[in-house]
Amino acid sequence: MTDTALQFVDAELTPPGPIETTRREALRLDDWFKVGAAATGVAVLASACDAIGDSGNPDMLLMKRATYGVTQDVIDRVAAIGAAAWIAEQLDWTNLDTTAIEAKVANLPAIAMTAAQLEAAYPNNTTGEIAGQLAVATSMRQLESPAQLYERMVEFWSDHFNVPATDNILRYLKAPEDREAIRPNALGKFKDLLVASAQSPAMLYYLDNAFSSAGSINENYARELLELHTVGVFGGYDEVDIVAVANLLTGWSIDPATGLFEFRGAQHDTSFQSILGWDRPGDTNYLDHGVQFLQHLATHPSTADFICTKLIRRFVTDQPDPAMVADLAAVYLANDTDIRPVLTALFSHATFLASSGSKLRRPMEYLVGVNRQIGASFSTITSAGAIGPLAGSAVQLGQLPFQWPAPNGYPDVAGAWLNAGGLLGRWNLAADLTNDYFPVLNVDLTPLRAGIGSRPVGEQLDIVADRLLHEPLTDEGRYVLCFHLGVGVNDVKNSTWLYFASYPIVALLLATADNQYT
Amino acid sequence: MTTQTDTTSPSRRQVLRGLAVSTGAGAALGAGAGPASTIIPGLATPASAAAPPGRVVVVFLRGGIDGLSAVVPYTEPAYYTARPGISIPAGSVTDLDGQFGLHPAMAPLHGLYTQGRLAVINSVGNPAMSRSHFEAQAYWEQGAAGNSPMGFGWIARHLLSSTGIPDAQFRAIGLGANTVRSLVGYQEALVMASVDQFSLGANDWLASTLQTPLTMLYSGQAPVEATGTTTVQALDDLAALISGGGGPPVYNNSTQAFNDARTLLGAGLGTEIITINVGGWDTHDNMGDETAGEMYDLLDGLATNLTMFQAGLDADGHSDVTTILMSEFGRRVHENGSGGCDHGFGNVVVAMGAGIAGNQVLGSWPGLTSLVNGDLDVTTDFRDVLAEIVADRLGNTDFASVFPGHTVTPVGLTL
Repeated sequence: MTDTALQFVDAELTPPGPIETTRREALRLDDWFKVGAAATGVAVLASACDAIGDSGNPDMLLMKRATYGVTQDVIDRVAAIGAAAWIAEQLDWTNLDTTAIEAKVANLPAIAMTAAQLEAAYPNNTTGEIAGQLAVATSMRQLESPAQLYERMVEFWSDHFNVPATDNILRYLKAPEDREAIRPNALGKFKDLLVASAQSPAMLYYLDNAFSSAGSINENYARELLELHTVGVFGGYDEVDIVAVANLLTGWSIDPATGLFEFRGAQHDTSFQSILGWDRPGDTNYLDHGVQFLQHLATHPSTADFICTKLIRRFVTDQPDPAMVADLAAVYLANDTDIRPVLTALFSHATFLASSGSKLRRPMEYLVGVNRQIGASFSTITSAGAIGPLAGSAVQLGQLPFQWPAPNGYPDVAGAWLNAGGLLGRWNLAADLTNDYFPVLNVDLTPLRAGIGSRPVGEQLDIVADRLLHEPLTDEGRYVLCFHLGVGVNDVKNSTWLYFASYPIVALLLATADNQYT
Repeated sequence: MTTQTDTTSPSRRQVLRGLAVSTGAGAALGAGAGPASTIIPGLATPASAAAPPGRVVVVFLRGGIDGLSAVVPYTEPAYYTARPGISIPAGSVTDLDGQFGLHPAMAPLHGLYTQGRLAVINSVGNPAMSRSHFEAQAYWEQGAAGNSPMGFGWIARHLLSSTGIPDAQFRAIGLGANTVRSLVGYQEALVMASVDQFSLGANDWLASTLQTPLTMLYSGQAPVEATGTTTVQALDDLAALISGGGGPPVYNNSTQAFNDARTLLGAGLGTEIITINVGGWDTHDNMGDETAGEMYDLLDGLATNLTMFQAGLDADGHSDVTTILMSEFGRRVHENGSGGCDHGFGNVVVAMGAGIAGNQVLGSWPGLTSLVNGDLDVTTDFRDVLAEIVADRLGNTDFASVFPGHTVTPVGLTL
């Protein structure tokens, strides 16, 4: 079905999301609870309903956006050292202790293998086992790693330099690219990441540069390098530039024996090129010329704008403000394309701080996020086959990792994701997870309901909501839950009642409209 | 449908329409027919309340289909000179008009052509002539240049400037996990990956008990809540359609969307337009030849699905459905260094079914000896093609709303 269709949903040209910024305002327009008549029952609920309130924690927005989901551990850490120090700690990710999660990931053998090892270990690879292990490892790290911002940036760059693991060859190349090119450079300098991507066999194969040779070029990579990876479609290049880039990068290919990058001098076009303010030097270090050009591209002002626009779209709003783009681009250029100071500036920017509730969680952000909220963890697994039903959920949500076929990566805006099929997938996921439907996930609601029997239902609901979402229920939210449970907020219920009630309570809290946003 | 949504549905729809345009998006809408709406400043009241004469399925071929392989200019020596490795031999094509012929894998569609139910238009494209997938697709799907108001899609603008089938549950359905740009701006579109997946609690019983509280939690006017309301409505409306397996045969991974479209067109939902995506057309390498390879497989799958789809509609008696196929651009006339073609300009559009002036090859053919930057020129603006469909099959002649800034020129595609 459309999993394999080149959707090319795009966010660059115009803001496609309708009226997302007015969500909260729209809610306030017609607040049924204030309009009153709650006693008349369901009919009054036909207008706006805002189930979850504001925690009052000024750092909640930061914690939501810089992680895959707020947990008590994160709240405690931020409270202990402060928001600024916590961001710095997250950016200094190599000093975070990832021993436990990496040990768990190491049970998936494909993750550590080279392309040649993968081909030997998984011959006739048509089952998707390697891509499946990579998807599991990625989700595992997103769920359980303390290096949350790092994992978010890994995903950001995986989208930016999208290579789907769908082809029989790409399945052997994508996992090594993730390990060798994306992850080591996810929180470093963009120019290093760009060169690593350009020389990664997965990218060389996916966008055909491996098959481009002097006098017989293939433009595919050159075009997307400019349009999607660096200066952007309005970045100031033309068709002549695309041909020039393709010529400059001829001979950048793959050693078929090892599956590693190989420069083929005999296939390289050595002619002079002048592209976007860069002139080819006269020396004969031909491979280095391509590297120099990529580094020039990385420091181009259009690239600074483009990368910062995408960072803002991921972490702040679907419709980036040009003033904020300019602020971040200046930081990017002043720091030699280092992403860390850019993120520091982003998370302290006034526009960011005013953006609460405006960003729809992407499907996999939601999937991983509700797992973090409910306190789930992966069981130890050694093959992708074990994840079946969880992969099914990702498919229904439309975002099975590493399966987006087009080079622009999974969409980043609500307009592409906010639809009936996607929302239904989220509702099913919230309930299925709560009811421990997924064999590979360990879910236990006990801590959420512990120690609060024999209290009024309203208090029980408030405590469960606080433990789960770290935000309070509103009167409206409390009302809907009580209505569904057939109880009054002041009814006193014991722990046996709460045991059974906790399932719909947790499922509905996770499924609320509010919990789709950060 | 649940009672609480029933009682508020009409006003919800009015309010949503008001919300969608009140942010400025409607400014360019409705320059044409009808007095100004009192609810929505700037949006014309639809000129006619008559039901549309037909229904339309829009198939977008993502990635840029190589029209020169699909509909081969087999009499042109320049075609064979430009493509020594991947051209389709004249002897293998199914002739259409003495000048163009169908790729062998497209031969199953020839019957519809000779019955007068299928037509092709050559050298269609957009005037921006972008070779970017994303820019070109945005242009096609918005029906306007990149900076059109809020990026509304042309289908959305059609829906907002017309009334549709009376008492329609879902005027527009998008088949796919992502909302396509042509539907952006029409918040009530039903977008989903497949009919069979559209159920609450298929995996686990807990979800199936939550429809009522979810309806309550999602009642409201914010986009997410409106989507929730649509979701709940669709759960009720589609429940009877879920087959649980069986159904028509599945040929490839695009077949299910066509089968779903057939099911939905027969479901009495008042649906006048359905969008489908078929991917895989970005053939930069190893396209193959007239007997095998990537291009053969792609065209074989497409032609088979289209043939089965039309046969299914015929069997169901849906004689009012028109299917139109489009892609963001054609491909370079000359093959590249990898047995494929890079991005180009002009391309073929195929239309079949109700109201199509079939059995002809339309469009002014610019020839392959006077190329534009190596590409086939564009001689027909894609909006002229879509405008005829909108006018003659969907009954909406408010072109100023649907294709703002464009003056429509007749193409002769519809009867």
